[in-house]
Amino acid sequence: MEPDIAGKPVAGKAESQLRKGVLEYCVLAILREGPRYGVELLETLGAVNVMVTSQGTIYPLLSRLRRDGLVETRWQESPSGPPRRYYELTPSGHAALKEFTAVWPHFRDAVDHFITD
Amino acid sequence: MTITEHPLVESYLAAVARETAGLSPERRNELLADLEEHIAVTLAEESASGDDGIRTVLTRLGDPRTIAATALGDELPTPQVSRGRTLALLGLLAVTGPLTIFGPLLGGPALIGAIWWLWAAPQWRNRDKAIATAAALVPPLFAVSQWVVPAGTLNFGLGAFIPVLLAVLLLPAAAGVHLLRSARRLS
Repeated sequence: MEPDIAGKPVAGKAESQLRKGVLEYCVLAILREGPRYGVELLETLGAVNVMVTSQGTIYPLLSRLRRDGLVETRWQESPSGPPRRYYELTPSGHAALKEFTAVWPHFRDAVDHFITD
Repeated sequence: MTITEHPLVESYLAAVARETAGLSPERRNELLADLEEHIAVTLAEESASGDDGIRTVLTRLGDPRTIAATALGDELPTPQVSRGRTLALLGLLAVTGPLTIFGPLLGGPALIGAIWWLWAAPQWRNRDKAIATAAALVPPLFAVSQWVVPAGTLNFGLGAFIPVLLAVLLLPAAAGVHLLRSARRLS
């Protein structure tokens, strides 16, 4: 993609790089509140519009979190519509989130330090 | 007709399936099932139906290629370890025991080669490599001890000597079995 004069695709690239790094921790943070199914997670993430552009990409991410043992899944029937696959934090998921939560403020401050004049 | 049989949904999922041909069948089926659930749940929650409703849901879900690229990007590049090479290394390790004792001229280089090769191999943790190295070093140390220690001071008697010799000879082979098992566990 060629950057145009307004620099929008460049901003898009920075945004998608950042999202790639932090999205999984946002997902873990949402799950701290309790089990959620995919559509629910996306609704919460979608409320902050930088987090999801293409909703479908959350599913490969959730699959990786499950394979890494950070979340567990179970199917649950629903009174309306099809059964939902619920995602739930595991102890390692809690630990990973805790680690990120500890690191993030330093990271944010460091970036702010460099980019603010 | 269930929602996944709707032509729009069917062709969307078929596109995802096509683009994710590089995934393992298990991962691919999981992704397709997740997307299928997403579509069905969203339509049920929004009480949307009809082609327009479905189109909106699919548009928000995103381009099948983007989803596939995310899924394929997650596929960890597993180190390609050929089984033949693993077995060859373990075979070499096993023969270093008898060789260093009965044919030191051949055994020495074989031992050095086996240890070199072992530490260059990606499929084991350092701990397992250290265990195997220690086991491989026992036969030469045993041979040297027989030679250095004056005859008579280290007299097992033949009855004890033979089992000890056998154990020493088999130690590198046993280390090989250990390596084989830990390589399987890790992969």
